[in-house]
Amino acid sequence: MTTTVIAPESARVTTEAHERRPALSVRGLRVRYGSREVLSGIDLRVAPGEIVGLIGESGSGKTSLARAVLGLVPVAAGSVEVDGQDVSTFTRGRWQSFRRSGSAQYVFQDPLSSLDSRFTVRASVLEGLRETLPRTEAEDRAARALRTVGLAETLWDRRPGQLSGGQRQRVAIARATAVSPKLLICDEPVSALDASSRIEVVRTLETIARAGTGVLIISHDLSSLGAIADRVSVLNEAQIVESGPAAEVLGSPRHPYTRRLIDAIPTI
Amino acid sequence: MRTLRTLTSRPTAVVAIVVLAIVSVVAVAAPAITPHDPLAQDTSHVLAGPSAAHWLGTDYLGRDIMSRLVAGTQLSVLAAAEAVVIALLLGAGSAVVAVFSPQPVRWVLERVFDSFMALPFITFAVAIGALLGNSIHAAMVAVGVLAAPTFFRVVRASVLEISHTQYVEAARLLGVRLPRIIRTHVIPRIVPVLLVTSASVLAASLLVVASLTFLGVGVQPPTPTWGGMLSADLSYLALRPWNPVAPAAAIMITVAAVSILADRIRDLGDGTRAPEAAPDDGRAGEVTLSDDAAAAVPAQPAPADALVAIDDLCISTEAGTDLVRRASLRVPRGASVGILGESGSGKTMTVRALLGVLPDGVSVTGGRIAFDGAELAPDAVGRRDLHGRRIGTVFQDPSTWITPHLTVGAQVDEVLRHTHGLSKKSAAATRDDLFRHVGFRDVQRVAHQYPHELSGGMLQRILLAIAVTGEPDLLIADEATTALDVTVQAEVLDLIRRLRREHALTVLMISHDLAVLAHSCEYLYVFRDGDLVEEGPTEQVLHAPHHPYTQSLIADHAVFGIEALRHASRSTHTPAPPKETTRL
Amino acid sequence: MTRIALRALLRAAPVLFVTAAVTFLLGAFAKQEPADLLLGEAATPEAVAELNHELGRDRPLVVQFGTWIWDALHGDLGESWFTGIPITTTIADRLPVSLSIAGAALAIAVIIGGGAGLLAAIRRGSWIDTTVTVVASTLATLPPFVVSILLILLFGVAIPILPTGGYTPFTQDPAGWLACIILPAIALSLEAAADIARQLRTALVHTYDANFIRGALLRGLSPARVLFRHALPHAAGPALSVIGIQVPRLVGGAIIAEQIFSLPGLGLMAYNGATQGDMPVVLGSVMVIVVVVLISTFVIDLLLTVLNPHERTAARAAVRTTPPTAARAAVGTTASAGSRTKRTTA
Repeated sequence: MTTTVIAPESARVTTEAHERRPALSVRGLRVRYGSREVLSGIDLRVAPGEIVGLIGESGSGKTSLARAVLGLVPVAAGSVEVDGQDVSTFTRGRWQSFRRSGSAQYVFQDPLSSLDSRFTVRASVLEGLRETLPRTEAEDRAARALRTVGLAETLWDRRPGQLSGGQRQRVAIARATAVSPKLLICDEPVSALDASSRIEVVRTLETIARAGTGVLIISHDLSSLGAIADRVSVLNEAQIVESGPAAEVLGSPRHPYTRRLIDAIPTI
Repeated sequence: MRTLRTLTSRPTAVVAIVVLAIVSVVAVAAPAITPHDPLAQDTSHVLAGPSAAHWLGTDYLGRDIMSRLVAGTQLSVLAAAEAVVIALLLGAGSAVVAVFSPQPVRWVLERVFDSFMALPFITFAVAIGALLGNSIHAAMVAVGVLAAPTFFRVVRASVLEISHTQYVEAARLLGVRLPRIIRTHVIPRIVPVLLVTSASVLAASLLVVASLTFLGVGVQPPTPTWGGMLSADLSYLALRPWNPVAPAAAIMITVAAVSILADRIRDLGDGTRAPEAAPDDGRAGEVTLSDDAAAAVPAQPAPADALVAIDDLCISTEAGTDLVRRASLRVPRGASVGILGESGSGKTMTVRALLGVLPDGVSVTGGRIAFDGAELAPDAVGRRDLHGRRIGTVFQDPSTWITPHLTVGAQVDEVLRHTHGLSKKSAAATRDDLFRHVGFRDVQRVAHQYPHELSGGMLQRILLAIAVTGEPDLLIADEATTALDVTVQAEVLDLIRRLRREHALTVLMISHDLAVLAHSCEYLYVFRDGDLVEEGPTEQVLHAPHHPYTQSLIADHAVFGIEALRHASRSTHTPAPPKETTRL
Repeated sequence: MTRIALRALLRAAPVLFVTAAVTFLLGAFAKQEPADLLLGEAATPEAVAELNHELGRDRPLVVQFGTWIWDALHGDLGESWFTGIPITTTIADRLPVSLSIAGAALAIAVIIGGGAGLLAAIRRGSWIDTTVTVVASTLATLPPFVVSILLILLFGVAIPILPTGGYTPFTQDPAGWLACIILPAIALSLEAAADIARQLRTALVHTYDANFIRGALLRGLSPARVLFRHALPHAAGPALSVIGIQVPRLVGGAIIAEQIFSLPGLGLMAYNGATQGDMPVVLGSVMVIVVVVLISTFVIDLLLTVLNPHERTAARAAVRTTPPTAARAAVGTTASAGSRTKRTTA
């Protein structure tokens, strides 16, 4: 069932994506904390409209990768290109204007902590837009983003505490996509949610990708990735040990670590 | 507005507000409402007792004490308020600047406020007040500056916490400018902290003003102040021991009112934060299938050898919310039983009731719990004989379940010696065996490590070792592998299975993860919103679930479970049977 | 240990400098002219100028301050402008008085406050808890001088069994010394005792909410053992911090007790110096009080460090310089570094 949804999508990606600028292109990335290297030579590519899954356990370096792409930790070596711009050389001021342009956005694991509990849905989504746009235009864009994630207009004046887990996470996605990013990075977007909320968030991410945004999902949970990712990369001890189409990597893993990871998942 | 209404629902807060309102009015209107001229002397009525003309009597110069008390309010209260305003602006302002400034600025600010903190409050205020020409305003500037570190510390801590929240990080990643972040995210959130701190600093300042005026700093003699009145009364203590009562009471009542208000505002902060953190309560009002569903489940004939027998268990909060409704379950001796449910479904409360450790405000309101044939009293008393000896327990987040300031070895020894009565020497030997048993190699080093030096998987193995060392009948594992990495989860689950076999344990496992339970348990119970909606042998629950909720859980798993991918590639692969499978 | 001492010194040095500078600056703005008091209103301008020259007051402020610091570092705090007595001599006389009162007050506060807080926490919700909470809140609203007056009324006037003024050195007559300091110490200690009781109670109740306490009880350990070995060391931190905040108040607040009980302590010395504009006296007494406060802060920091397992393991790692443990353990330490900052800000 999942494969039939993805098949035409990935076909389009493979033909078009390589002609367009990649949403994210990481080459030989190294990140160090003091003397400890948490990423040693990472290569990763996300094409526009593609969903890439990055799998790793805690301590594998997957969060550092996201933080390096977003300029939250310094890059020791290698290049990180977001929509064709090499961000690894950015200065502080350059980062500010880059962020305001909204090229790369981030969705946190737990929407309850990433949304200000005092802000209404509308105010949260408007926050980033109001930095660059006049009020009416910003409101139009926010409304469009909220409709894209399928959030009914009756919910727009509620606060996070009055929404379900899935609705909250869709607000967080709307806030990130309202500024029309080329790249959307999601850190464990469904791990904090109950099973019933997972489907709605996963479907929302598929919609976002179909509209042309490159989506990178970082997770330790292979099962949620397997359902939506076009390609996956497996990160272990600072290095990518295996990448390829999701069905191939998860269905018939070649690297022993990937196999161990998949075997560790309890089955029904 | 809502806050104010909640505040006025507390009687003590209302009293405090009324007292402060009166004090404020008196402070402002003092010159107009004094019954007599507070400075008018009457040498014929020196040190007189209370009378119709002088309600509180007269002092050593024959001045009306009541009038002096009223007139003294102005200086005493306004001076304290002056100090609070200075402290607030200086301390809170610098705190916000410090948090969002580069390292050198922060360092300098922190050192400066550290220095103020070390200065002895009253001595310094006295010195400044006296040095700068006996001026109460100079003294109040000094008090304000010296109280500023209190604001600085408190506000810095909460701004720092806010600045590290994900919603501020999210705003920064959206390119939102700093002043806007401070205005929209930070300031509204520190208002309660500012209110509480202002109130406690005001209370302290009132006392300092009283002390200063008592010493005669900052005011010239005829000017009436509460502290000054006390000081004068001191000389005539032997003659009129009751004269100090009025000014002392004025000080105490005002300070008490401010302190009570501060405490109530603080309670309010705690109260409003709680519901935010609570998980979805949205379903509370939903109609549940409780009665029908319970009836639909065939009554399980109680096996003769049930180690745990729970019948019609009801658990409610003090407010009357039902957390568990008429749940009955059996854990046969030697079996492995699983309880499945989402957070808030009542599964953990059921287990806590069995252990007798329900949280405050939650209690068993009906039903029976029996362990090994003996019925347990509804309260926790008397269940201590079971803890550690007959029931071992492991929970989610192992690092929170082990005492942080003791080495893990010391904590294992402690249980061996005090719960199981081993000697010091044999405890050490047993501990080494235990650590080896749960898969540690360098047992000496592990024993000397503190919990923060070990990973979650390692700690869970140590807690399992502690749990099984007394050869208990029952092992309870409540979300014991949740939040661990999958490979670590697999190791811990394997360990539980091995321990069960080697120690002939009965196991009760609680989880939100269907696959974890399916893999380890022979019999499953499913909780939803406080109701037991499904039970049966694992195979039956997985393949022929009765309840729509269980059906939807299994359907979800078909979409997201790893099986979907596995089936795609290895169609010959059959799901692992829910019995033991040894993996290496 | 050396590391901690070094860190304390690094933090103390700026504090000493800033307080000295602030006090000195205040002296420059002082309204009192020593010449007015020493020479009288009728003094000629020449005599005033000569006196100011003698006292060094005609030199630039920076030079005056620099000289004072230089001399202070060599153990010379100058002489009183009025009496000519070296400040160090006066301090040597008065420091024991202040230390006696503050020390005794601290001891009373810790014993009574700690005991009450402990009792209230283990019997929370009972009448003991309510009593402790109510008494502590009431005491916090009592100015120390009101307590002093009550004590004088009770033990000096109603049942005259204790002296209500004066000081007898410990070396002369230990019993007399105790009789002299007991009332001022009690008067001074009550607020601190109330604060300690409230903080310890809150911290203990909070700790009893933690999983590790529930875990220790579920392992079959006795409640007494869980209290003293698992809960108390964890809850002692906040109570110790309160003591750290209270020490400056005890040392500084002694000025009130000194005034009421006519004790020749440092507080009164600072007060008298200030009213006369005698800067060397003010500077000297304030700085000594600050040093006393800094030393007690250091001791409390040391105790807090001993209670904190992260500090202990850091010290151990520094001593042994063992190779880094497994990658997992390293992850564990970085994660816990975060929790340590959380604890200090709390």
